[in-house]
Amino acid sequence: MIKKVVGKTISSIITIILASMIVFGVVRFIPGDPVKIIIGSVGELSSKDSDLYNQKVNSLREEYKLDEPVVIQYVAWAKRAVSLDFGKSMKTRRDVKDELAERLPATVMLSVAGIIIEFVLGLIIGMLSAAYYDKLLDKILRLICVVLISIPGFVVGLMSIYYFGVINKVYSISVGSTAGKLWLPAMVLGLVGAPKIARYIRANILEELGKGYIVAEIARGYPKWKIVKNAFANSIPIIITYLLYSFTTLIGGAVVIENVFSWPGLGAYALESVLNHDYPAIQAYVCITVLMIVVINYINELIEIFESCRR
Amino acid sequence: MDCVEIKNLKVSYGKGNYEKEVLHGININAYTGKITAIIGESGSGKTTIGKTIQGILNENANVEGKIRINNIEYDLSNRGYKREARKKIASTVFQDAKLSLNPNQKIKKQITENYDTTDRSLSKKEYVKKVKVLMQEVGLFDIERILNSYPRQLSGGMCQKLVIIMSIIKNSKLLIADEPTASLDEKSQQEVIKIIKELNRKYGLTIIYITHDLGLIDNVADSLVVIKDGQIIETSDDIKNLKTDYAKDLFMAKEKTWFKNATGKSKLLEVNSLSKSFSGNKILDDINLDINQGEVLGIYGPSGQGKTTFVRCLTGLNYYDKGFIRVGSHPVYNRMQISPSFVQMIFQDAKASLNPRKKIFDLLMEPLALNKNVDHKEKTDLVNHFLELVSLSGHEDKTTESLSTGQCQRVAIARALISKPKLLICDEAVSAQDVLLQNQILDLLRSLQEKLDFTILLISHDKKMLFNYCDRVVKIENKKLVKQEGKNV
Amino acid sequence: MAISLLIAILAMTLFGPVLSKYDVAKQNAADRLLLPSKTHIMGTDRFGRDIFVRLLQGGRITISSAVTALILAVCIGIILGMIMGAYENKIIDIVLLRVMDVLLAFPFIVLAMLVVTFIGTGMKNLVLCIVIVYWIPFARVTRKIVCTEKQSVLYEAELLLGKRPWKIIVQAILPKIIQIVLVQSTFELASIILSLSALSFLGLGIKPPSPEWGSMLSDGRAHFLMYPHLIAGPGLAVVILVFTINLLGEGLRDYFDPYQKVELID
Repeated sequence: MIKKVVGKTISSIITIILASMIVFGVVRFIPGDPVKIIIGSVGELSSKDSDLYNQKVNSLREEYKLDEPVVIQYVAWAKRAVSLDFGKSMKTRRDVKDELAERLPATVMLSVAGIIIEFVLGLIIGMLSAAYYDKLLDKILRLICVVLISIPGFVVGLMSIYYFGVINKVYSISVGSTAGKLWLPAMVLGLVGAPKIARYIRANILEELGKGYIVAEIARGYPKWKIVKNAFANSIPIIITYLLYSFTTLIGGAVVIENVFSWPGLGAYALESVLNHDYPAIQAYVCITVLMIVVINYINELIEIFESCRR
Repeated sequence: MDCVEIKNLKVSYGKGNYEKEVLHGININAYTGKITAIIGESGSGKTTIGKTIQGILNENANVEGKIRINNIEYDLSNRGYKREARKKIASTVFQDAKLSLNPNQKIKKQITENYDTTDRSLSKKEYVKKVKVLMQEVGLFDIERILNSYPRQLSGGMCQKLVIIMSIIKNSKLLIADEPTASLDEKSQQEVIKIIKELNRKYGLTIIYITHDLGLIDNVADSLVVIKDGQIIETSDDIKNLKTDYAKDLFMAKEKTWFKNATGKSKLLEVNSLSKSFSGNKILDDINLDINQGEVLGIYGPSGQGKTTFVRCLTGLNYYDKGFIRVGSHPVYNRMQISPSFVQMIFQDAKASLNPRKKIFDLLMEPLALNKNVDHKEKTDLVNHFLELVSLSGHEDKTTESLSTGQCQRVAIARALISKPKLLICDEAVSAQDVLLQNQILDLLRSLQEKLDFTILLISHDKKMLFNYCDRVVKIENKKLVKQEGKNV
Repeated sequence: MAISLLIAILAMTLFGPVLSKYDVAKQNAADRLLLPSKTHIMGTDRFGRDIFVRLLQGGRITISSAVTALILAVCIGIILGMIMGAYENKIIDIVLLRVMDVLLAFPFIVLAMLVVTFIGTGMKNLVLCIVIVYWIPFARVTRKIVCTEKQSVLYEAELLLGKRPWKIIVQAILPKIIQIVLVQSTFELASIILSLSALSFLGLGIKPPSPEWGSMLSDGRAHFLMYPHLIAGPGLAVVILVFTINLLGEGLRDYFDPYQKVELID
């Protein structure tokens, strides 16, 4: 078993390294001279005054080691990245690190709230669906799930803003991420993700319910709730794995929702950066996200290994 | 005499034009305090009977019929009956004990969970005490250790005994045993059967014993019900005096023997100090065996202890780690070195080993297609010849979907033999079929052996059949090979 | 659910491609300003363009790009999956598995952002984004099927006969793969359409004046608080399209793979 753990650790690290290479590569190899791009978009030296301009160009060249082989550039960049120094945002000229740190709490709030709602809703729907398999309740719940899955997150978001913001005036439509405003975007996130979880839980419980020991328990006359409880208990490891996995997809979904609700989190920041061609910021965001995802997957795989060793 | 009466039980699946009837109005009397055996082959409907009585038949089954217990008559399709049946009336012991226990709960927890479904005439403490007493009665002495274990840490036999305990402690009127020993090794089988007989004797428990294995019921059952294709063929209290031909054939078939081949033929292949491990677990340890040309060799042994792995090494589907297998003067290691014209194999599930999208004719052509030297006309003739040999001429345009299991097995045999192998390995190839069909296939193999001259290696868990059929029988148990001679002619 | 299947198929064939074939010219109608419904079934947007017509146009774009992406993803996925399964645990399998891991380490939208940063927006690039990610589920499933089937009786029997492994894979295993991938591809198609819209909505995909539904929604954001019909139209369109596809998928899946269960009674 130790062998497997070590193997997974190594492969996770390799994944991180490869992913970081891609991040670095994509940004570095955008067509055009990177230095001119860095200078140009700020606009300070658009006068192209010879001396000042060349000075700046040279100093930047040195800073980013642009005259050295690519590998060295990557290593330099990676070294800085590990210490969370991603340079300065090209737009605001502030440390990217600081900007990310500012935005982080908002996203964390939203993500955590979102996943709690998502999971609770999904669990309830999934278990009910499985327990009343093929009865009316199941069919209704499944229909609702299919409808919910078909609506894109941003449509739900826009519609809910309209409904709660304009018609009912319960929600204030403004920029900012106060706790009071958390409920609507979190609910939207939760609603959008719940059907997937519900479907997965339903399938897993149904599969568990088909197993031999369940039949034996039914034959012995165990009450319904006990049987479902036992089936559920045996499905927990798988469900936890899925929970962690859906956290990773949530990171992506958050971008859209943050945009719709003007929620100043990491996702919105990332989008702005892309549209503004703010490369250091993009690099930083992607790195952080990738790191989170790989870590979560790694934990998942560890859980799986422990489970399979237990058998 | 007082009994559990099943009246006119009909079970079918599907609706309208797609309705398929599985049980056609059967009547059974199971006398109180006696063991009634229901004998039938797979697919005959015997398990359906058991499930209906227990009230756990699938939701989509259409059930009609009545059951009378202790002078109360119930409707078998009634939900109320199903509830009663599960809680009070009947208990079932299933075939695979390990699957009947919750793999993630300790035995102790499962037994105490069971308490809630009893009639609670005992207090919980008394209940636990009684369980421990019963455990000793059935031969489980290491009580504390067993109670604190998970099912995967116990043997199949122990699990089955625990399941039996959990069933009888409910004081149900009826115990249904559906192939309770089929997955167990010989020793555990005998122990479990002994326990069942004891339960019947000591507690006067009415037992319905469902099985396909006639050899078992001889010393166990008081009365016998023979079922085929959803109909009762015969009911009898006296096993020696059966009236219907089918039932008689069924019993006779068990006794059939075949003549032995003349001994003294040359050696076909030699296995020397063979060892194999899978990820650190040793499966085979120092196996030595000579296989002679033209003989019929049987291999039996407990499941999971190396029989199949061994023959797979012979075919090259698995590599082996130590020792060697020698044919003539060449050692063989893997599939690449063994040609299809040396060894072929037929499997337990013949239908699954045949591509369902191809016609029989094409299936038989395939092995020949790899040989470019023979022209098309010759190949066609060869295929037709083999079809005739297995009595399937005229079926060449069909696919396996429309064939019976027996026919599928014959196609598999033809396909294997068309490459003219010197060795044919039959991995439980007749185990899934009823005795009559089994004998047909065995006969076929023998007659083909005479015509085509190859060696047969037959794996089965049916020791008696092997001793009747083979020249020699060996046992592979616990990684080693134990030689045992067959009966001499 | 089978009846829904039929309705779904009907609905899909009526909408989208058929109707949107005409009305091509109308898109550049006279510039009228914001107007709610009546003469225009769904109103007009802020440039005075009829929303309904744009929906139909956009439908063609959305569906064609989604289907293109799907077909490419399925083909690549199945082929790579078969290779991975056939050479299980050999170098090519391990390498491809790593590639999948790395690609999956990026949330889809983030990956799309990277790609857009690199090669810009536009329909072709959008389809590329999707194919880069969506081949993975198909490859995974294919690989799993191949690996499982390699243990099956059929595979081993045919191996013994002397058949080459690839031939067995194509003849016996591929049909199984296609059946399962068929069901899966309906669900993935729905997902692709949602992703396309989301990307366009965020501005990373097909840009205005192209009437892709996602970008129509993003267009409408400016004024939708007062004129919700700007959102209702494209929103509804996306929902209905994806919904019918999902129903189709559910129906297919139930047809191939129903559950068997014993009734739980208290």
